[in-house]
Amino acid sequence: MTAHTFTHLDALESESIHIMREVAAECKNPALLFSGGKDSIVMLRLAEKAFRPAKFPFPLVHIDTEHNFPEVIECRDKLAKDLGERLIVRSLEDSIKRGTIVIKDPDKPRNPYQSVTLLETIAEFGFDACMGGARRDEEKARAKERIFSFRDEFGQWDPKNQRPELWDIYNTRVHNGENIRVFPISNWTEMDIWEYIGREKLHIPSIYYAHEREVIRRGNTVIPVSHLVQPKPGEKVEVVSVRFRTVGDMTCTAPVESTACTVQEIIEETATTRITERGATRMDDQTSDASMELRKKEGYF
Amino acid sequence: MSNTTQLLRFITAGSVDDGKSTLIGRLLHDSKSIFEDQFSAISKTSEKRGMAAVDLSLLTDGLQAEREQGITIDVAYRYFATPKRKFIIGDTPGHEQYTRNMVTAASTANLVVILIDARKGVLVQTRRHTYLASLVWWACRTSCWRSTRWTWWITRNSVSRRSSASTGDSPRNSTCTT
Repeated sequence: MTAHTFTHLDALESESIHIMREVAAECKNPALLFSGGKDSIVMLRLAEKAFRPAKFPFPLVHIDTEHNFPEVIECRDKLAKDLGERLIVRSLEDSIKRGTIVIKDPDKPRNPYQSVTLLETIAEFGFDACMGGARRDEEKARAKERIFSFRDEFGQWDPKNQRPELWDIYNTRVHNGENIRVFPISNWTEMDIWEYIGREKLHIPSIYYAHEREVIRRGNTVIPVSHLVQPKPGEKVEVVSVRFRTVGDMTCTAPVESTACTVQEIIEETATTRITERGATRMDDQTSDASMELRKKEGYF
Repeated sequence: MSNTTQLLRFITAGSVDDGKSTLIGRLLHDSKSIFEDQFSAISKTSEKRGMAAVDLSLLTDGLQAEREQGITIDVAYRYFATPKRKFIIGDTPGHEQYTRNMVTAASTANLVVILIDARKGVLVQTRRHTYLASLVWWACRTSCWRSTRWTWWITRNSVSRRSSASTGDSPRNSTCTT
């Protein structure tokens, strides 16, 4: 028998499981935000480790922009079915029909509007805590956020007035109408996520691995051609081997050129990359110096 | 990275403008943990402010208000790894009114680096941060020791009910790492 060593992944896993159990024990009506992306797939495995053989004490919730990659939606439905957990899907289309979202250009990214549908869903089910797979290494405003992040009755985050958070004791007290966003994998990095996917042999959407795809080049960014993004006159469509580092709204998620077909190859690429995960792939984060902070203040997760 | 890397959480503390954010910026720069897009963003901001060199402290000041005022308001977390260890760094604010945010970061740290500006010496906030760092560490150690003692007590009693053999070490002898 080999001696067990407590690695950094074990430490992170144990912290995340503690946070999830804390939410289940302290909150009346929690939910887990699940998109089918790699971070939320890791969240599902952590939830399994925290609660199995029992059912999860919360439903899975997805706010669908209907601009998602089909491979991701397929993976989302398959995972929820295999686990036998309740999946609630609310679409931006419902909010558009209700008139709470007015879209000027149908081909533009829909991420900014996600907050509206998320807040409506929270109100519909009366969730007092929503767990999300956001990580602090993703973005500079997220690097500032508490693990238990308090939101007022309008769903807003006040970054200048965050609650103290000592040791592993979390404050879950909220008034009616207020809620908290909980980020159990705050301290994980992109590298940790990939190492964990490798260690746990998790099934992730195929577009995370290298594949041939039709793309167009705009500036330094490679943009995937889809029914939502068509080449403008003068733009040339190329077929390139690419993989996605993040999966989000199809109109603003860019792949990176890569030939990495296995988790090990992706880990090697991640170790040598010189561009941040969202910097390389999210066009909506580059609109201003504080775009994520502004979206979070509006209620984004 | 090998499968046995350990995790070390540390923070920088000390008075306002004594170089906490700059030290972290420099550490990340020298360990090549600053990504190109992050570096170009802080270069642009430094240029806008008319600085001759890139201000590395801007790296951890992620909030709009922090960048406008040139101060740290809340703790920012940054991550880097060496083949031996993975590090979680917390950059804490030095201002008196944001001391609670420093305590938040100190409570989860294994190590605190206290910065002192040699020209100004030990200031009020230097002393306060030093005291608070030892306070949260002792509080953590005490609660950990208490829970160890409690577990030991339960174990001993449940075992002694089954057999009269005495068991276990005294918690006073057991080491407790935080």
